[in-house]
Formats: sequence, C-alpha cells, structure tokens
Amino acid sequence: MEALVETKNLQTYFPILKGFLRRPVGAVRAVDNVNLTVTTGQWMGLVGESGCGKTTLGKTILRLLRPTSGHIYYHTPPDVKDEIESLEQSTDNRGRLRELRQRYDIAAFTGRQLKSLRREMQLVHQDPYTSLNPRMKVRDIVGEPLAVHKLMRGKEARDRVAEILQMVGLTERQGNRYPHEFSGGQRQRIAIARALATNPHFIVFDEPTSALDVSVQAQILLLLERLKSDYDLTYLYITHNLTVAESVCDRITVMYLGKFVEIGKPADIFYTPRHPYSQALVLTTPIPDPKRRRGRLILPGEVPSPANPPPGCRFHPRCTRSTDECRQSEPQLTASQDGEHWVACWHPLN
Amino acid sequence: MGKVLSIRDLTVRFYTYEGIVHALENVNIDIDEQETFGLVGETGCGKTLTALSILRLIPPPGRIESGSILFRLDNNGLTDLLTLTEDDMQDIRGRTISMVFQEPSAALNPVFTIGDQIAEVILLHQKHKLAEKALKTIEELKLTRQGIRAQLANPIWSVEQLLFRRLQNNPDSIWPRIVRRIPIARRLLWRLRDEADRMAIASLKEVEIPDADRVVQQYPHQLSGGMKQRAMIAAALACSPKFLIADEPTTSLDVTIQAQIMELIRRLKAEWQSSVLYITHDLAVAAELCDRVGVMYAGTLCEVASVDDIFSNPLHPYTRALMAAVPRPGKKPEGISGFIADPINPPPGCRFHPRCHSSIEICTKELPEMQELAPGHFVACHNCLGEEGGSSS
Repeated sequence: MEALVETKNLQTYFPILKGFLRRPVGAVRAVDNVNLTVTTGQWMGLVGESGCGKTTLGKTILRLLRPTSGHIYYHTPPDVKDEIESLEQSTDNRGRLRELRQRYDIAAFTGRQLKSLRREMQLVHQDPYTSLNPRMKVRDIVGEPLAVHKLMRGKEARDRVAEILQMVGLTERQGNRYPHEFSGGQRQRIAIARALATNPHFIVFDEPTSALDVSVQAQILLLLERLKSDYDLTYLYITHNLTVAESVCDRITVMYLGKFVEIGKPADIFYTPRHPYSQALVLTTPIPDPKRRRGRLILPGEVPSPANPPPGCRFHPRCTRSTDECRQSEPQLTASQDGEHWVACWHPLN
Repeated sequence: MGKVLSIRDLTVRFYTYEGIVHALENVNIDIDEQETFGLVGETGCGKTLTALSILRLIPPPGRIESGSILFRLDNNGLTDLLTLTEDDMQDIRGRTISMVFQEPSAALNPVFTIGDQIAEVILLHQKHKLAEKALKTIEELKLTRQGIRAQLANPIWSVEQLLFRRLQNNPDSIWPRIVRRIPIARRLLWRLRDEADRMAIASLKEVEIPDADRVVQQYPHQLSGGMKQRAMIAAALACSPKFLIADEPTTSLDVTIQAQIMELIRRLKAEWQSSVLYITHDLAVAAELCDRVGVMYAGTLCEVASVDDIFSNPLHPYTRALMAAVPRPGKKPEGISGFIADPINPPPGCRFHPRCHSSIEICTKELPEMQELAPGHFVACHNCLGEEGGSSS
C-alpha cells in the first residue's frame, strides 16, 4: 500500500520562556522524533493518555502547528523522499534540497501552498460544544470552507451544503438552525460535515466521541465507517480509549510522552501487547463483562512532565520490568518477525 | 444485611420557563449495607439528580414532588430524609452521607488550599474528636515543657482545656461560638485548627497521596487531575461516612489513573465498611466495580439486577441496546436509532418506546411497572421477553 501521509523524525517542541527577555530556558517535547506512516484508505488509531502529544502530532501533520524539525510528506513519490534524505546527509547542494522541500515537504510549506493543502486535509475537533461558532447558522458553518477556498458560491454551494448535511444524517432544514439547538451527537455530525465540505482525502479526528454518550458514540463511529468507504477517505483517529480504537481502526499506534512505543494491528495490541505500557493500558481499560475481571496491573505514579522527560526509556520510572539498560539508553522501534508489529522496548513481552 | 438506603417513588420536577421538566419519575432504589450499587445511564437521564435528591441538594427551580428517601441513620430503623429539618440535613451531609463530584477541578475551590478544604469538613463535623485530640496535646505539653515559658503558658492551657472539655462533651456547645467572636480570645481555638490540619494530612495519606505534608498547603491548580480526585475523595471520607456517593469520579481521568482511583475506592469501601452509590455512564466501569447495577433512561429506572445477571442476561431493550453500543474487543458497536426522549414532553407510556424494537401497543399508553422476573432481577418493561413487536423505528 502506498503511504499517503508520512512523517520522518518529526519534532514539535514548545519553548519555555522565562525572565524579562523571555529567553527560552527549555522546551516541552510534545512530539519527539516520530515516524508515522498512514497508507491510503487506512484507519489509523493513535492511542495514549492525556498529555502524551497525540493532539500535537495531529495538528502538526495538518500544519496547524509548526514542527521544530523533521519532514511531513503527503502523497510524495518515494524517490523524492529518498532524495531529500540523501541530500540531508551531505552538506552540498542545499539549493536542490530547499527546492524539493518547498515542493513536497509539508513541514516547509508556506502561505498559498498550505491553503491548498488544507483543502485536502481536515480536522474534526474533540469537543463539539466549543468547536462550532454559536453565532453562525449550521449551513454557514458547513458552507464556510467552500467560501474560504472559493470552490463554489450561490445556489451551487447551497446544494452542496444540503448534500453534505444529508451525508452525515441531518436534514437540509436543520441547516437553518444554530448550533445550540442541537445535541452533542448532532453537533459532532455538523463538525464532520464541515470537514467533508472540501472533499478532503485525509481527516484527522481528535477524540471525536470522548464528549459523547456510548449510544451516540456508536452512531458516530458507524457514520465514520460509512463515509470512509463511500468517499475513499483516510483517517487518523486520535483517542484515549483503547477499546474504541480496537473496534474500528485498521492499525493502532500507542504513544507515551511524545514517543511511539508500539505500532501494530488492533488485535495484536489488544491480545498480545509487547510493550509494558500497552499491556498496562489493555489491562486497566475496563471491559463490560463482570466475568472477565482480569488480572489488574496498576501503574504506579503519573505521567512525567514532557518538559523534563526521564532519560533512557521514557516509561522506565513506571515500568515493572525496567533495568539499568532502560535507564541509560533509549530503545528504538523494532519490528517483529512478520514486520507488522513494532515495539520500542528493551525487554518486550511475548 | 439490611438496607441502608431505600428510595421510594421519587419524583423530581423542574418548573422552568419552557415547561415542566420531568427529571425523575417514580424511581425506586434499595441499597444494602456494604454494597456498591452502580447507577448507569446516558447524559441527562437523571443519575446525578437521584444522588442530589438523597442529599436534598436539588437546585431550584427543581422540586422533589413526591416519594420518600429512607436512610438508616442509626440502628433503630429507617428515617425519611425528606422530613428532616435543614439543620439536621446539614449534619448528615459530609458526616453520614458524602459525595465525590464528577469534575474535581470544578468541585474544588480554587482560592483555598487542599488542606483548608479538607479541614473544613473536619471542623464542621468532628469537633468532639478534635477537642479530644487537642486535650491530649495540651496534657503532653504540660508534662514535657518546662521553664519560664511553660509557666507563662500554663494559665492559657488551662483555659483551653476548659473550653475543649465543654466541646468534647457537647459539640454544639455555645462557648466556642462566643470565644470565636472575641478578637484576641479567638486565638484559643487555633489548636483545633491545627488538629484539623493534622487530620487532613492523615486523610490525604489514606488516599495514597505521596508527600501529603506538602500537598495540604497547595492549591487545586497545582495538582494533576488524579491528585485532585484523590483529594476530593479524602475530603469525602474525612468523617468516615456510612454512605458514599461517587458521581462519575473517574470520567475525566486517564485509564491508568482511573484504575488507581477505582482500586482506591474499592479498598476504602472495604476498610470503612460503607456502602457506595457509584454513578457512571460507562458500563465497563460498572462491570468492574459494582455488586448491583441499575440502568436509567430519561428519568426512569428500567432495570435493576446483580452485575453478573445484567451483563449475561439483560432483559430491558434499552439495556440491551446500551450493551451493544459499547465497543468491545473484536466487535463493532451498534448505535441506538433516534434521540433521547425530551424531558419536557416525554413520550406517553414507556419512555423508551419510540426507539424500542420490541414495543407493542400497550407501551405507547402505560408506563411499565417494575416487576421481578427472576430473583433480584427487576425490569420495567411490558414486553421484555421479546414477543414480536409491531412498530419499530
């Protein structure tokens, strides 16, 4: 499968400014050297606890945040990626590197390029209560991307809005109402409709169901599934709920403190997790079956601050299997024998 | 094992400008001693209102229309909380029944330290205990301290002793109240405050907060979400209540922290031998923690059963639909068609019938009564045994 979105050594740091001169004294390493590959048509799940950098990664890929370093590729031919990489190694021919990056690397995009890119990539926010402008009618909210990108106007735009509203399960007449007249699930449908307006290929969902009830969550997940197959979309689905990711995603990436710790198929992550953190996530996620109250694994302590992450493996202070090796050197993502299941751990399970 | 709490036909309505909101309709719940009862349902179904009714904290324009809330205050029978005076009720809140609220960052006061907020509960409800401890400290001081300063302090200690003895015998004694109003004499009560702070530290240690001595002096914004929730639990359990209401205590927390908090509640409940009313929207959490579960929909209780029964053999169509909506490993979630009932104009008859697949004619006319279909398994449904329904939407 061809990679649609790919990040290479992506870093997003937020500087900590102190003192009268606002000099940087450190950085919050929200996303640290991350290589993510989302292939065309994939439903990629990004799982992690709050503060681990999932949202930052999602927003950086859409270039709503500026990465500190690294590359983001979207629909880039593999030979161009290779050329950029080889040019980076050497010091000569900087001009060619700059030219290539400006053409292909989203991390180096500016102005007009970004605007045309955003037609292709869209975002659905976490909380549908704050992501919709309360002073705009729903049809204006959904129609705004069309106006911003000058795609359609007048009757054509109105018809398109009605069509999109029907796609997400709302009626055309509901377009004349304001967001406060809708329930949480309906608002999330409006947010999805807005994301779909420009016919994007890639959508980032930032915890779209965490503010919703389970029955509504199920409706939204089914809607996403239908839209994905109808319009050949590719999703990056950010969530903290491992069971949701397991039930809908094609592939799951587990993130901890700005790093990927495990990548694999949902069933593999859920039934044979290889990283101790994923195992803890699996075991602490409650399951609606009282007969399967499993052995609990309660992690001690809390997630350390990403401004001052522990040396070596970032998980070692909370890990039961940590050794001196974990404290000193950082493990890299390595693949299992079949090349499907990646883990960054010195002492992987299973 | 007897009942600790018995809610009978509780009906709560809100008189708003738009109309009468039928928030709770004939809710019946019984909770046994040392039981964890889980109340499960979606947003707006009345879970939190049920809890607030127990504490009589329904905000206006809400009113408890009818029903009774019987609670075992002492060993001779049940008392109806709705007939008590406001003063008596204030005595119960925090001492016998206490509550952990959903959003710890919203429930804690941002301008007081954690220690202040826990000490407040102790100062209000445990005056005799504090006086007892203060007396002990003074006696120790009298024995151990020597020299001129001790001789000077001796008369003050004696006055303090006098005061605290009165307080110990009668927590509502008038003397501390008088002393509190006299500017300089007010200092005589500082020792109580000191003891309360010490008890606050002890209760923080009880909820496994590391470095409790530092945390008591911190403000809520300095703590993480999990820590705040622990501090809330410490405040709720400071007076070792007989009955704890936990209103979605883990909803805003991460799963690993949620597991820690659930384990904590489980341990403290066993230690204090108290009963817990655990409110959650997450069926999975209820399955992990509760002994019995009640499912609510739009202000009515649909099904009550033991946790094993309700998950292996759900009888109410809503419970079944809710179970199918929960994502599980290897299974896609299924949605419930339609929207939750409007509480101002609830559908006639069973409130779930417009979304129900097995609704029959009677469902549109009569609100179903709770019936016991199996021992301990109560269901409010006309057609829960699944005869072919006519209409479905």
